[in-house]
This record gives sequence, C-alpha cells and structure tokens, in this order.
Amino acid sequence: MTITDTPTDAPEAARPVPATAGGLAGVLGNGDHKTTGRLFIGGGLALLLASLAALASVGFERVSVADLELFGNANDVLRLSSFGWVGLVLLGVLPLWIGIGLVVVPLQVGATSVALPRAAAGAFWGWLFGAGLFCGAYAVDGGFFGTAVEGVELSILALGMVLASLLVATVSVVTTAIALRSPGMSMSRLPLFSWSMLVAGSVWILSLPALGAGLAFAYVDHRYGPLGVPQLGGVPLGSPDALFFEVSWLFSAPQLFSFAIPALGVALEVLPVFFGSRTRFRNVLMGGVGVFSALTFGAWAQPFFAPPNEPVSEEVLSIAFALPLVLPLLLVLAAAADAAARGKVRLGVPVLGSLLSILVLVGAAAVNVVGLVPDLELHGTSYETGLALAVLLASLVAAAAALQYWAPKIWGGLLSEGVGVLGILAIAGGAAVAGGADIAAGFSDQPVLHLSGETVRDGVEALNAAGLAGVAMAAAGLLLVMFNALRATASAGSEEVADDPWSGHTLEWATSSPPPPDNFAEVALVTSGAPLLDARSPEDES
Amino acid sequence: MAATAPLSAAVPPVDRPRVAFVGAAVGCAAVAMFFVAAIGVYLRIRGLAIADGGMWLPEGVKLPLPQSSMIGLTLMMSAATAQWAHTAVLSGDRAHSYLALGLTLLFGFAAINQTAYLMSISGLVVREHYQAGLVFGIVGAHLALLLAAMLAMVLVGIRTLGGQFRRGQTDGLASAVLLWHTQVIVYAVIWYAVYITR
Repeated sequence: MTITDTPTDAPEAARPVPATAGGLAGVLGNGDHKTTGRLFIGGGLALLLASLAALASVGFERVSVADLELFGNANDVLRLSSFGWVGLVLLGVLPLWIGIGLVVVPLQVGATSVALPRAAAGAFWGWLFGAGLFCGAYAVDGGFFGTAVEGVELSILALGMVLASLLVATVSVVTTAIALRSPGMSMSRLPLFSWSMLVAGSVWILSLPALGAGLAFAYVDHRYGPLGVPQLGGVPLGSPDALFFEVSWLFSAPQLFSFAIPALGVALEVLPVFFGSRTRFRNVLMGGVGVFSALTFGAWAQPFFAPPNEPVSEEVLSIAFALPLVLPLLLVLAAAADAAARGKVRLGVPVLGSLLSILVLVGAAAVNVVGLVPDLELHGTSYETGLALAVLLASLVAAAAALQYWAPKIWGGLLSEGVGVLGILAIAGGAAVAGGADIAAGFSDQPVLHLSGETVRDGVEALNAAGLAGVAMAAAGLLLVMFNALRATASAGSEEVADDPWSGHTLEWATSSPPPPDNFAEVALVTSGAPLLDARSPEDES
Repeated sequence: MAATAPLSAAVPPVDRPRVAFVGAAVGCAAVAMFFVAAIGVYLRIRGLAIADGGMWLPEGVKLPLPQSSMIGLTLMMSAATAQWAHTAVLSGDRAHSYLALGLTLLFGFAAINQTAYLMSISGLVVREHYQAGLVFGIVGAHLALLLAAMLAMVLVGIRTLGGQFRRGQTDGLASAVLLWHTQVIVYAVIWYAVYITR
C-alpha cells in the first residue's frame, strides 16, 4: 500500500472531511497550520521590507556625515535605526522562519496538523497586533530613543507581546517535532530541516525570554521611576536611550547566529535532493547542527552580565563560542560536496540559495573571530552592524530558497525560477556588499549608530554609500521574493502541480500539492531518514 | 489524491495523548528562562552594589523572612494539592478532584494576598529606590505567572470535571499542574535569591 492510496475496501465516507469556512472567516478562524504559516510568512516578509526601508533611510543619512539630509534631528536617525534592527529580527527573519516551520515541519514528520494549532493561530494574531502597536509607538514619537513617555511604554509592551507570541508559535513548532512524529520516525530519522527547526526553536525558547526579562525591568522602571542604577553608570533601566543598548545582544554574536540555524537545515535538506544522492553520516550532520545551535545561545552575552567597562566580546565565553562556530558550517559544505560527488548535480534556485547563504555565513563566522582581537577595537563600531546585516540577510537568502523549494506545499504552485534567481542573487549580493561595507567602516572607527556631525576617517562616506547600495539591493531582492509569493498565492489552484516536483526524500512530498486540510490520508511507518528515496530505490537503503 | 511513492507500510492512525503535556513542558522551559534571566540581572546588579562596598537594600527597607517563608510554605502546600487533583482525576474520584482543585486555588489566592502584604510593608518605593524596580519586576512577574497558572487550573479543571477529559486521559490537567509546579519552583528560587540573600 502506498501512503496516499485509498484502500479499495474502505467506504468513501469513512473519513470525515473537516468543515472549512471561506473568506475572512476562513482566514481569521482558521487553525490549519498551513494557513497560519502562510500568514506568518506574508507578515514577516512585509515587515522585513519595512525594516530594510528604515535601515536604507539611515544609510542614506550616513552617506554624508556632515549634516542631516532626511531627518530633522539626530534622535530621529537613532529611532529609525533602532526600529530597523529590532524589526529585522523580531518582525522579519524570526516570524519568517516560524512561518516556514509551521507549514513544513508537520508535513515532514507526517502529522495531520501542527501541535497546539489554535495556540499557533492565536500567536500569529498576537504577533501582528504587537507588531502594529510597535510601529504605532514609533509613529507617536515612542520606541527606543523616543521622547513621548507613553509612546516608549507602548513600544516596550508591544515588544513584549511580539516576543510572547513568537515564543508560543515556536513552542508549537518544537512540540510538533517532538510529539507528532510518524511511527518509526525516531529522532535520528527526523528530516534535517525539522531537526534544525527543533534545535533553533529550543535555542530561541531558552534565550529570548531573557529579552522579556529585560523588557519587564525596563517597563517597571520607566513607568514608575525612572531612577539611575549606579552600577550601570547611573543610567535608568527604562531610559529610552538605554533600551536599545539592553536589547543589543539580540543582534550581536553569538545570539545573532541563532536566527540562521534553519539555514543549515535548508541546505542539508535541499542539496541531497537536487544532487540525487542519499545523505550520509546523518547523525554527524545532526550533531553539527546541534553544536552550531548550542554555540549561538547568547542570553549570557547581555551587557548586564559583562564586567564593568569591558565589552562582552572580550569575555572568555565569547571567544569559546566564536572560534568553533565556523566548523559546523564547513561540515554542511562538506556534506554538499559529498552529495554532489556521489550523485548527479542538478541546479536550481533552492541549490543556489542554500549554497550562497552558507557561504555568506562562513564568511560572517570568520569575521566574527577577527572581531575578538582586542587590539582592533571593533567593539561599538559599525563592524557589529555589518556582521549582523550579513548574518540576517544570509538567513533571508536561505528562507527565500526554502520558499522556492517548498512552494508547492505552501502555496500549491511552483515559483518562477527567473524571478527566484534574481531575488536570491540580489539579497545575497546585498548581504555581502552591505555587510562588508559596514565591517570595513568599522575598521575605520565608525560608531554603531553613527550620528551626523561626528568626525570620521577618509573613505567612510564611500563605504556608507556602498552599504546603502547593499541594503537597497537586498530590499529589491526581497521585493522579488514577495512578488513571486504573491503570484503563487494568486494563481493557487489554477494549474496542476506535481505532488513531488523535485523527487524529494521526505514525507511532505508524499502528499498532494497543496496538501489537503488533514495533510495525509494515512499515517506512514517510517524506517529511515529518507522514506521516499527508500520507496524509489529500495536497493540503495544502506 | 494521487499516489506518489510506495512507502514501507501503512499503519493505523496513532493516538498521541501527550501533545499538550509536551507543549506545556516546552512552554514552562521558556517561563523558567525568563526568571533565570531576571534573577541573573538582579543578582548581578546586587553583586556590583555590594562589591562597591555598599549595602544592597537601602536604609529603612526590609524584606522580612517570616512572610516570604510563609508564602513559600503556602505554595508548597498548593503543589501537593495540585498533584492530588491530578491523581484524583486519574482515578476517577470526582469528590476529591473538586476538593483538591478548590484548595489549590485557595492557596493561590492566599499567596497573592501574602505577597501584596509583604510588598506593602517592605518600604520599597520605585520612585525612591532603584532596587525596587528590580524586586517589583521579579515579584510582579511571578504573580502574573501564578495568576496564569490559576486560570489554567480553572479552565482545565472545568473541562476535566465537565467530562471532556475522561478518567485516565488527563493530559490537559497534567499540563496545568506542570505549570503550577513550575511557578512553585520559580518562587523557591526567588525566595532564596531575593528574600534570603537580601
């Protein structure tokens, strides 16, 4: 019997068909993981674009450091910059991966639904509402570096809501990978993307609450104080100027790299499929992804915990976490080379995206080690923002590759190859140019949040112009990805799509494109990490 | 639905009764990390203050041990009654289930009342003492967690006793009890880090 066969002796009406509502009610009241995932993906992409636009505006301002071209005062530059950075992580990259995980992980583990589906759906609306409040707080002069007291408090509460919602959705994805696996699918047989989402989710669940704790202190202090903490240089915990400093560990190494963990899973999932060969040494690769994840746990790297007057980057833990970070990435590249050597190389947009993202991440991990050299004095310079841009945009490249690969399951149609290639090349190019320019400007002592009127070395303005071009390239690439996704959404159901267009190895390709409401007609018994490959070539099961 | 590839075998749908419990365990890990981070920040700033040669709590401020210990004892008793509720539902003992759930909620209300009293006599004022923001942040977050655990107990208790979860099928209640135990353990850490060390 095949996984999708209907037993000939079973009556047609034996399986209850889930009732589905249409229109707005179908969207608002839907607990289907694919709908929730699509909503997260759409919202994440849209707010990523807004965040990149904010960073591009700041970049435009930095091209000429002598005066303010766009903004009325320097504080507005700081506010927009902080919005861009927080938005890039909590409103963009993280929800994007959660959305992909919500769609793909249940399908990969052979589940009929995601775990806690109503919690996941509620998490999306909570996240959207929180994100709206966060944007609204900035609009009324609140947010980090804001001057309106109520606006600052609103932004802290909104960020707390965003964080809580993302954590609930992450719990849903992680629980699916733990508790809803098909019979026979032991942890070592878990598809590698699902494994990467499981370990990434675990890192997020264990580290992001630390941000919530900082926000809670900041809110209490700002609402009912504020009083300076002598041990923190007399700065109040809830001071609008201190808030950005307090959350900065989120987009600094090592925590920064945690937002790229699923990129490893995408590469390990996509490359063997396109190279037509079985993944060897699965346990070693799973261990590599696990080690990478453990090394990205960054809740300890908060400025609160650093010794007085000593940057976190100079602590022993920072060095211990940074040095081995590149090794799992090299392991992924080695696995790709092994798969290519043993199989028949087939090119495609997902291959291009996964390889480019891993290559940019290897470069970023290497640069991260360079930043540990105390004599270079890179702490507090735009080297840090350059590194963050490179890693987050590399993660976005991998997410774009994932969308291209799993589009038949997400939207029920294939995405345009040409548009996909252009989008991925633009984002990857943007990552290299914007990240590289900011890192180079950091070597020229440009501060993290550069204010006009400060003295900078020669050539920094040219580097800032290159950085602006890089961010604009990435934004253009993101627009292409969004266009591709919108086109797929609009044309969903209008053309027949193969259930398994890539000859995939894992269970999601055993159901139709798009999958039905309950995903699978029957529960499969899994006997290896590549059940569909086994079914196609049983003689190669070793 | 079209066939795509034959798999090894097809098996009947599997019963997965522990999904809510696993989800609750993962969620409780996040909750625990929130408090680990909050208490970490508190102890860090407190440590720096003492290293500077000063006292941590300002003059006139007290965090009395009898009251905070009594809260701990109350919560420990509530952990026992919460577990009792779970055991009673497992064995289908409706009378004991009502009694145990009611006592658990009563202990929860008592802990809230005691905490409010303790904070009112502490002399901590946020506008005057920067330490107050840290103490109130941690204690307030624990109260919020306690309220969430009480709400979960009420909701899941009603559904269980209303017959939605049958005897031997107590995944929802087990999840609420796990959250309850988590907040008790969190309080134990707060008791040591905030009230004992002072």
